[in-house]
Amino acid sequence: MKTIAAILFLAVLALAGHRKSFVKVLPSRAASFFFLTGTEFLLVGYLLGDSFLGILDAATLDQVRPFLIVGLGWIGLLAGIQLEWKALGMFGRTSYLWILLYGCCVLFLVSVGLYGLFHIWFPSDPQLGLAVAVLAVTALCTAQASIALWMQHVSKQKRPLGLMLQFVSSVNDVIAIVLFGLLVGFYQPAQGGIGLPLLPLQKFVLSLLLGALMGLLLLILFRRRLGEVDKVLIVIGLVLFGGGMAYLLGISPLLLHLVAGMVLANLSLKSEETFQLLMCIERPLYLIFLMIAGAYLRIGSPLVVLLAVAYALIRALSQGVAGRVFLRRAFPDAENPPTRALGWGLTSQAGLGVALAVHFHLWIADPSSLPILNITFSVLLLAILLNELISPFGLAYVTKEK
Amino acid sequence: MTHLFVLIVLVLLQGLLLKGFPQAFSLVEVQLTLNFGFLLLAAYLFGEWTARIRLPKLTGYLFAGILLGPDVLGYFSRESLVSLGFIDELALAFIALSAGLELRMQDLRKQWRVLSGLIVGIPVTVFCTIFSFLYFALPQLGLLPALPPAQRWILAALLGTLAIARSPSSTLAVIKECKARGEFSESVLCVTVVMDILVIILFSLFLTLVGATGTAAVTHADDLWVKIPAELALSLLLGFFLAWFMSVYVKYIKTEGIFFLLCVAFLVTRLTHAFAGTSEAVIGFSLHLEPLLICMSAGFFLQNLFKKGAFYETTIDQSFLPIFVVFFALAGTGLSLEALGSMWQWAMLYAGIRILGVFLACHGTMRVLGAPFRRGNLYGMSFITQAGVSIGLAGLIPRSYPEGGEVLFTLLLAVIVINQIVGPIAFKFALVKSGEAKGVARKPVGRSARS
Amino acid sequence: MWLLVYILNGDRYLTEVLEELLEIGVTGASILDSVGMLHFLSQEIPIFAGFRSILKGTKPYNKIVISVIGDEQRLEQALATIDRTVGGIANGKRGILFSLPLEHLISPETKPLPG
Repeated sequence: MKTIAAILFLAVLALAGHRKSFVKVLPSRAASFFFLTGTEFLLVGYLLGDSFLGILDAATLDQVRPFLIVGLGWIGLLAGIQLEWKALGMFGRTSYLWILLYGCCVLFLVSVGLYGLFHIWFPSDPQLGLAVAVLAVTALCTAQASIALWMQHVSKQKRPLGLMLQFVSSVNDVIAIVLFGLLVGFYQPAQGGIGLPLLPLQKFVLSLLLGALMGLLLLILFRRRLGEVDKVLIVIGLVLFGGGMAYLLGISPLLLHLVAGMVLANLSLKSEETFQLLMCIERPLYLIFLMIAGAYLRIGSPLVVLLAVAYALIRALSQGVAGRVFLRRAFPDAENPPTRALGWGLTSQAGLGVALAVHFHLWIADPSSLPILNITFSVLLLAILLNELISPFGLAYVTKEK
Repeated sequence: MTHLFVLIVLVLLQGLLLKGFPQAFSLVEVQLTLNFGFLLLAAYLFGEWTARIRLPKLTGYLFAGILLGPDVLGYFSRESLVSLGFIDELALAFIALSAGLELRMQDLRKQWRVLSGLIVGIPVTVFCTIFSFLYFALPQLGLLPALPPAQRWILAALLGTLAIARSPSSTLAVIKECKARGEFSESVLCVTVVMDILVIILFSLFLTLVGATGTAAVTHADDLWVKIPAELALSLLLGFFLAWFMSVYVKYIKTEGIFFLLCVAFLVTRLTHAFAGTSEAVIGFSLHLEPLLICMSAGFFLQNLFKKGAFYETTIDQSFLPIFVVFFALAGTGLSLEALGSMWQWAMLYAGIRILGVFLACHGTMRVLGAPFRRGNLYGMSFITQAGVSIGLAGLIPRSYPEGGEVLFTLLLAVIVINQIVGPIAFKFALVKSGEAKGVARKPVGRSARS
Repeated sequence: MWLLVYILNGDRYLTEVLEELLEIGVTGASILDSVGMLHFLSQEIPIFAGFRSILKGTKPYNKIVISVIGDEQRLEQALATIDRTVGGIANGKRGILFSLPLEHLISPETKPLPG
């Protein structure tokens, strides 16, 4: 009965939440801003989880694992299907290069900072590298919804800034998915005989190949004229199949489906229809991810809080520094050159960050794994919450009128 | 060709994964994603292929299930199918709701003579044919151990009742696939639904008699007199409340229909499970609410009493394909080829006699009503399908007849396999002939645009 | 003579609607891209698909089907067909459908105007 109640509760909250959140209401700064990007559902999940109410207990969370795997595939496909070469070419190559450099810089700075910090508590942990790498990669994610919401308050002259920020965060999201796909390969799951005994790079290449294959299958099936229900069935079927395959092989469903989506976007005329179809459930899906991630959250020791605060600070600093050095040059053709502090505008970490956190929990940080990985997961989630709170200040700084 | 290519790729991939990770297929995560996705796609592709050779798509879904299931290629083991069981239940709830929604009183009233004729004619005739076949002929053939006359009488009555059962889901699937709309398809669905309810009542009645004759292993046989009416009444009552709740949803919310329906289906299936346990603790025996009946009656009340059926019809129309594909593919995996293989001669004979009974009934009814002979043929072809409910009820027989019950059960399964395959094909043919199958005889659009 | 206008919400049922229209003998129609007012004004905030909104902006999202129909009976039939195909326009999120009487039509099939 508990499972029924919990799942129904989740469904109702997700539905109700997606009606209330993300709507175009003009929020009154930071606090209400937080409540419009949906991140509050992380807290709802935490309350529902074992730490408080116990509605989303371990047994229930185990039962929704298949759903989460499929959700990750869905998000990957959605992320991939927007990557159409023709459209991507609208921005110059130099923009991509500078954004890539910015991303590398953030990665490097966060990795160095966190490695030093984690080394104090886990000096000889075999998974130290993996934990730091996961946090560094997820540091690249930025919640675009936060940027878009903020940009509704600012004057018209400042609006292009919002587009720039969204562009940077979109590119970085893709980088994060690809790097996370690589990272997943470093971990050999201990459970139930899953995971291919291959080198990480081999697994990475396998994800790309399988993704391309899934994309081709989609492409072939979509070549005929199909009814709406047929399309839904094919997409659901392939995402289920691809997600399950990724879980079985120990590769990332996000990466696999990103590639599949890219194949479809660039080779099919029907990518727009597919995109609309995928978008239909984007929001309820995201809210369910938020709540489940929240339920997984464990703030058992002060160390988690401390590390989360430190991570958020290191990330924000790295973004500031990297932004100052690289991002200004990414938009040479802009009418009003962006401020040097552009990096501060990217602090909000929800969206893909939450999906990657769930991915991390499903693939790597299961309760049986080492404590450092469980702590990493909680640190990441807590930092997402913190970042969501500080991001309005960053955005305000970036968009302030002279 | 393209479908075949995709199918081959999927089958190869799944085969490789099965070979490489045999253990992992016991994980729920894998069963509910990889296995589920594979079944969905493979069955869909099979269905598209059978549609091309003018057979019902559902035959394709069934064949996919049979072929990939434990008896043939073994892509799905019996254990791995267990976790998909709840999807099967959800699908059944959807289908039952949809069947209920299809029954519009105002349309049915117009043809009450045909309906009442068939509803009386088919059960009586089919029952009598099968009953006499089993009572007089079967003992001579030496298939069953000799039984005292009273027991033979009841056994024949039980099997006669089972022969009346149809498959509302198959009927509905063929109607939806053909986009059929009209008096004929409506009457077939209505008769099918009514007979399903009738079968449940009659079967329980005869099972009670088995208990009364003293040889059966049925417990609480006396309770059945209370139990069955109570279960039916409660199911209908729940259906009524569900319909009311769903109409309120339409009135005030009317959005995200598919999510809501999923929640409703989930709730109904889980509640019926939970109710059995609770009632056992409270009143001493377990009451099994019938999700099929709850959803069907909810659909019926929604359409005819609360007048809010349109919203749900549209919602179901948008999502019926995955539901039907999964439901029938899973049904296919459950069809026992072993049973058919071991008793195919008997099964053919049995099925043949049942079909004969159906045709006799339909022709007789049409003759009494003064309808043309052709109409009787069309109706005859429409009432062959048999599935879920029959398998469930047939499963009770070995429990009541430990001796020879297993043999009978195998025979019944084999007959159901035949009916499940022949039935939809015949029904699709009948729909096309009746002129109500709009979605079938259509020419390709490109060609007609040019002409 | 009538002008049938159906503004679809998205393009989900476009193919089905056109097929059904063809089926009842409406053999000519034009399809236009359009954007709803609220959709145009509001900023979509995607969560995982930001690229699309930046690169493609407010893409035409709705489709308008327009068709000239000669007689009233066929018009009635067309209206009913569209309504049925999309599962009842009154059920929401399926666009709007209307028709207008036409006064003049000049097309290759009509006679040229006098003078």
